[in-house]
Amino acid sequence: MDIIELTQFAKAKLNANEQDFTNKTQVVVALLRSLDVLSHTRTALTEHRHMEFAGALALAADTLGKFDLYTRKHSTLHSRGGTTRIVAWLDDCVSKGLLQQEQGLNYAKGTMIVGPMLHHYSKYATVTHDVPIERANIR
Amino acid sequence: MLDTLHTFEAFISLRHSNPSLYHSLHIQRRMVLKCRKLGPEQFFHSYTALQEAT
Repeated sequence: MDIIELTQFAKAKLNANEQDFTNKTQVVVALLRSLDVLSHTRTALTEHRHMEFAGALALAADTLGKFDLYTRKHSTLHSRGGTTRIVAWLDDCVSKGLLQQEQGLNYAKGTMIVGPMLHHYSKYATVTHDVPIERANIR
Repeated sequence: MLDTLHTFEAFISLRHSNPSLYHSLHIQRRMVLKCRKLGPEQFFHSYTALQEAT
């Protein structure tokens, strides 16, 4: 499935307020931010785009485990309702090993396969963990 | 300070234990800097542990 279609599906699921899906998406956003794929600044402006992109990746990890990027042309992506940053984000995902290009290219093009790390944290998000937080300077 | 936050798992567990802190810019920046400092091998603890186990 095309990445733009996936982001539209992800947007619909986020608007439907599905808790499991939102949890997965938040963890994938955190993963992408930790790896410097997505920016952690100005999130009031950009968070909805980040959530849609991460939701698309979480959806791909849940379903087929792969998706397509038919074109890298920004104007086409924009006219179809996607963000033009998606190409750079996918390139970063490939270089960080979160996604694999089917033909072994080191940039995003054609069929992309979800990597094991993304699979791992997509599943991990559904588990509730309780890590105790110790605050220093408080007695 | 939040001295026990050394892994990705610890950061994302804040979503349940302290959501307002988790969504603050401070903690998001801290997460990014910690990952850069420790490196992904140490920061993504559960994934690394899973790889070592298999």
